[in-house]
Amino acid sequence: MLSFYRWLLYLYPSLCRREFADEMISVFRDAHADVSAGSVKERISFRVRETLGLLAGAVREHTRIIGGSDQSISFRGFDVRPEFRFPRSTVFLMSIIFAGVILAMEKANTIQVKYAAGAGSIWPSLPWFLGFTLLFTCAAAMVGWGILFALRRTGVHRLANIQAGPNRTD
Amino acid sequence: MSGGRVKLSTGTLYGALHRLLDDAWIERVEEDESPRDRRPYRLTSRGRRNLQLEVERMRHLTKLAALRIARKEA
Repeated sequence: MLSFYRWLLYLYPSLCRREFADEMISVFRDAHADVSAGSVKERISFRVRETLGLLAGAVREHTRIIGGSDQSISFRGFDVRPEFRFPRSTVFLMSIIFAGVILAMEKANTIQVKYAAGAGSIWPSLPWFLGFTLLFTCAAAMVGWGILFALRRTGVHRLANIQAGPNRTD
Repeated sequence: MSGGRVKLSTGTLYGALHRLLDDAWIERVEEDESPRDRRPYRLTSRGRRNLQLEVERMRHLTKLAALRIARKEA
């Protein structure tokens, strides 16, 4: 059960795991020792409670990170700190993307009005659309992960740890 | 504390501890001799103030409930 518990802890964000895993394992070990003398029902109840508690806890911790309530965000070891600010060019690029989306919606609306009479049902093309969306999402995720991996390889994330201070005189 | 009525899983317990640490309601007690898997925590002044407010709120609730029950029985 302890090895299963350790394995489940890997579902937690790495930052959280580094912070609490040792304590959690220690508390779990004590609780497991207490309950091991109990009835079968108590032992099963303990295992179910611990497993569900860990699963819910992992989801909650990931949600906290996505929601931005945590002190720092960790993507596979690449920490984005709260003082991190996107460059100004990001606003410009996001504006272009937003304008592109609006334009595409406008075009789609025009096409729909123009060819509505001749077009059939959209359902036959739905699997293709879903497949394309899935592929696009996977590609975007891979590109994002690649960028983060490349940044980590260059050591950019260590810049956040550099402290500004007086020059050393020795 | 609850006489076995409330059983917390370690996932729930440490989720709550993490939240309390983030909100600065509790803090870790740094002791040289404490092992890494046994680190004590204590209430901060902010946490103590919030605990007092919560106790007050619960006291008010129980008082209201007692009044309601007394009124029904009268």
